[in-house]
Amino acid sequence: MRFLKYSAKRLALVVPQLLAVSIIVFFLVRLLPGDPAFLIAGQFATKERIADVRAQLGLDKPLYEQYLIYMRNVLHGDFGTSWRSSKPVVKDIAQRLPGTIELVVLSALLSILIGVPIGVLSAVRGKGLANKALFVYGMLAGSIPDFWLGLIFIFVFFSLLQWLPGPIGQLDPTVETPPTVTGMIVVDAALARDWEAFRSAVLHLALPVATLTVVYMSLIIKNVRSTVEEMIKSEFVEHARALGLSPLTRLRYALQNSLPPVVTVVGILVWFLLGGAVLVETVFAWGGLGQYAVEAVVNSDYAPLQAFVLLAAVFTMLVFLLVDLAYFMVDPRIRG
Amino acid sequence: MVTDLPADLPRPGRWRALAGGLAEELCNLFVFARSSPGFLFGLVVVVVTLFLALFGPLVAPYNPERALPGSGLLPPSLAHPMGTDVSGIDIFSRVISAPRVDLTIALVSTAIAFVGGVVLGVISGFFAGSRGFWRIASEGIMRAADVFQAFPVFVFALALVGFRGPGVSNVIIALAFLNIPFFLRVTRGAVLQVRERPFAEAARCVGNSELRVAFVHVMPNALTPALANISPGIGFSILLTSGLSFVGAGVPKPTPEWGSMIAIGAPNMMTGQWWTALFPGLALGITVLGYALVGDGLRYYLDPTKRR
Amino acid sequence: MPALLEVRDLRVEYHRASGPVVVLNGVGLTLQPGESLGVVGESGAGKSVLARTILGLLQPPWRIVGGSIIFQGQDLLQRSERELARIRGREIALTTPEPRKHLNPVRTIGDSLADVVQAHSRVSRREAYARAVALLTAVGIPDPGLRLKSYPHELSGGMCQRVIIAMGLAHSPKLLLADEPTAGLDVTISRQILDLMHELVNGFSSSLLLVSRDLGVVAHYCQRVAVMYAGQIVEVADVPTFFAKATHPYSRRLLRAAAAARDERRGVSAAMGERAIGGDTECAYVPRCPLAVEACRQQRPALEPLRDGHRVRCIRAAEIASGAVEV
Repeated sequence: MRFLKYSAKRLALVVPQLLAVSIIVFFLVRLLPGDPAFLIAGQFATKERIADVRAQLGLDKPLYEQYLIYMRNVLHGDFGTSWRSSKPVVKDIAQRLPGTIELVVLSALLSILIGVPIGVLSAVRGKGLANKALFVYGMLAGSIPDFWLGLIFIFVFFSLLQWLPGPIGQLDPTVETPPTVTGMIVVDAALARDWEAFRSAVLHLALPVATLTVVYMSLIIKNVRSTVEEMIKSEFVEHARALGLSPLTRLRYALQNSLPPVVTVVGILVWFLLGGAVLVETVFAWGGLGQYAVEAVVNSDYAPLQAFVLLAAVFTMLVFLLVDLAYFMVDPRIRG
Repeated sequence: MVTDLPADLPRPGRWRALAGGLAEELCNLFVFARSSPGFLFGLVVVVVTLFLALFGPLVAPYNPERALPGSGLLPPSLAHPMGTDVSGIDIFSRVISAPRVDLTIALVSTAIAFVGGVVLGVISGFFAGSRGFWRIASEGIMRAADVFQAFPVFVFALALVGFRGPGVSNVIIALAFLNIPFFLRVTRGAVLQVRERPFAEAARCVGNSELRVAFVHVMPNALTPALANISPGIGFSILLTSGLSFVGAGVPKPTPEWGSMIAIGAPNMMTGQWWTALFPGLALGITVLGYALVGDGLRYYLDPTKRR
Repeated sequence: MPALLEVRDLRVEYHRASGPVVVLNGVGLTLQPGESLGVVGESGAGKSVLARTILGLLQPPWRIVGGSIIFQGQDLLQRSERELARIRGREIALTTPEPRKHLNPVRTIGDSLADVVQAHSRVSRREAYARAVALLTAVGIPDPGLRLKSYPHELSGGMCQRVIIAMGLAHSPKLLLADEPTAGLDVTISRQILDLMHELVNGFSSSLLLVSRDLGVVAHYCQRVAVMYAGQIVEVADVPTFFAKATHPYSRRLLRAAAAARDERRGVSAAMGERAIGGDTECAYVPRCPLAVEACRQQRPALEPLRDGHRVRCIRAAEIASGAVEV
């Protein structure tokens, strides 16, 4: 019951934030030097098209009305049209979104599944060669550009060793795409029992996911390690030792208390992954939302860019909301 | 640092004390550097990159922007220690010329972000919980920072540059804007603690206006976390700049910049000419690592509780 | 009757980058079964360290560099961590001056208590919860069944301390080390806590080592008192003798301060300035002692018996006791 109350309160907070985000995104286009209608309509637009866009956006009306028009469109799923693809942005996004989701979700899962145990082990073991190595890894992972690492991986595993396919998107061009259910090729292939497509999709996923995981898992490891270490040294764990409780029980105590901060870090991880996905998608020609955004920037295609930024922000806020709710479930001090 | 001075006396002019102590602090820092290999490495990196920023293009063996047709994609050799790219330009010359652009962008944007972030941090921290106009300002700043945090950093940088157009000045503006919340938060945290100290109370009682107490008395003592984060901030800016340039939304092509060099060399990487993108990336990694280590070292050095 | 606990010449150091600091400088004391001994001294004298050392809880940079701790005939300093774990919480238990910090914040006190019960006895979880309820009742917590589901942050400081005591006495230990059990609690609650502890300890015929900065508390609840200064015991006596005939200049000073602070319930505070502990070259109290003479600076005095059951670490003890000098 308290959880529902908290969720309601937290959701209520989200609404003004969403509003603020939408206002910011709305104003982004106004940053453009020059006539927004001309820029949004695109380089090859006809005079009629430009006039259309002007009417559509209500550019002759006062600013707040423009905003209202924009919001009304957005809530109806109308994000404008990409002049490059001549398609509504919504369609482009729907086509490309699953690819990005695959990347981000898989990388996040791997980072957590591998990173958390490593972090815990490292905290329990204390000093030693392994720990020094982890420290070096952490510093390096935070310093190298993720897109560069992707290229290195491609060079090593594709050009040199030829173990994995090259950066040509999500699937081998000779393999047929499985029927679309979710849009995520791995899932769709499994659902259709198309094992050839499944295998190809997994192989193509390997390098981009590895790139993102290697770089951003360091965040998880660092945080888990320092949190667990702190908990192991805490007074209540010490007192448990004074009362003769077993080392295993004390570790359990430490881990239980480490959960809330780690939940927060997971939210931050996703936040970073969204940024990293943009670059990695470009390197691997992934055909996802990130690459779409980059193409939009390079081609001065403003409608898609605006939509992408809005979606990224909304998604991040959703993730932070989930993190807060999870934190609430996991830390009794918030509940009380 | 100034935080070592006794905290319970009213101190009207902290800036004078700051200058005096600086010389002594530099000596202490030097001693500390000798005991910490990571910090030393970082310092070397900083010095080298600063040197290259100033003199890189001058000491480069070849013109970093002039293509030499016919010598494209040459592997590393004595003549070209890092090989040549697809247009025949010597990669080594480009690599050592890039800090000029990257560091300029990083330094300027970090400086702007530092000033902006610290000022906003002082306001939001000092006036948190008080009444009237300043309280609204404080709350407003925090809410704004929260909202901007909803955008993943690179996405927002991309958007800002995307909408304003590529180019060095726009990148600087975007990066400065993005780094402000960072300095804001750490300063605010420090200010929240420092404003409780007796000397701040004393300064108020003596009759100083709130603003004066905030900026002349409290701020100098709350600068430490922000200062320690300047170096990592620079490293982070360099990474962002290179990411933007990689996708073509940062520094325009002919100018040597590590990110755009990686982009130019990317297609060649896949066909086996590994040197085209490897060296700029290595340079990036080493540079960012160096700045991060300096930041770590400074943080460790400035926090007496961590030292044993 | 063999002593329950005998600490001999215990030396403990704390290692800093700038060199080791001596914290316990040859501490020795004895405790009989069923006896209660109060250890008093100012902050930094080493009282808490002593309690933690007895249980072998010290970790680097703390180091035990000498001495022995004989408990029921065995030297605890020679025991392995595994063996010590069997003694902790079962034969010897500890309470702490900051009860809430020492309770697991994300675990209900019922769970934490049950864990302690199950740590040293093979009972089912159900049985452990039942015992937890009994323990909570014994320490005077109302509605124990309900309280099982509470978290530490929902309890007052006094209640947290009761829970800590419950945990300590869960297995009827032979020795209870009570480290400043009333720190941070107000007067009425302190009184209740001390009465409770006293009653329970007597009920189990356990021994009590009560560490405190408050002489009044020690006077009321202990049979003997030991005064610690700068990492060593400077005077030991039974309570009536101590309060009538305390001899060491520091003990006298404590008594005067306690009398003055009686109504304010203030313990003894540390003097200003740093004291270096550790030299065996002179008496540690020289910097503050009104009776210090040249001989005091030559050599560290030993803890010599003055009369039956009363030992003092001062070369001028006899003079002071006979009233030849005024302190």
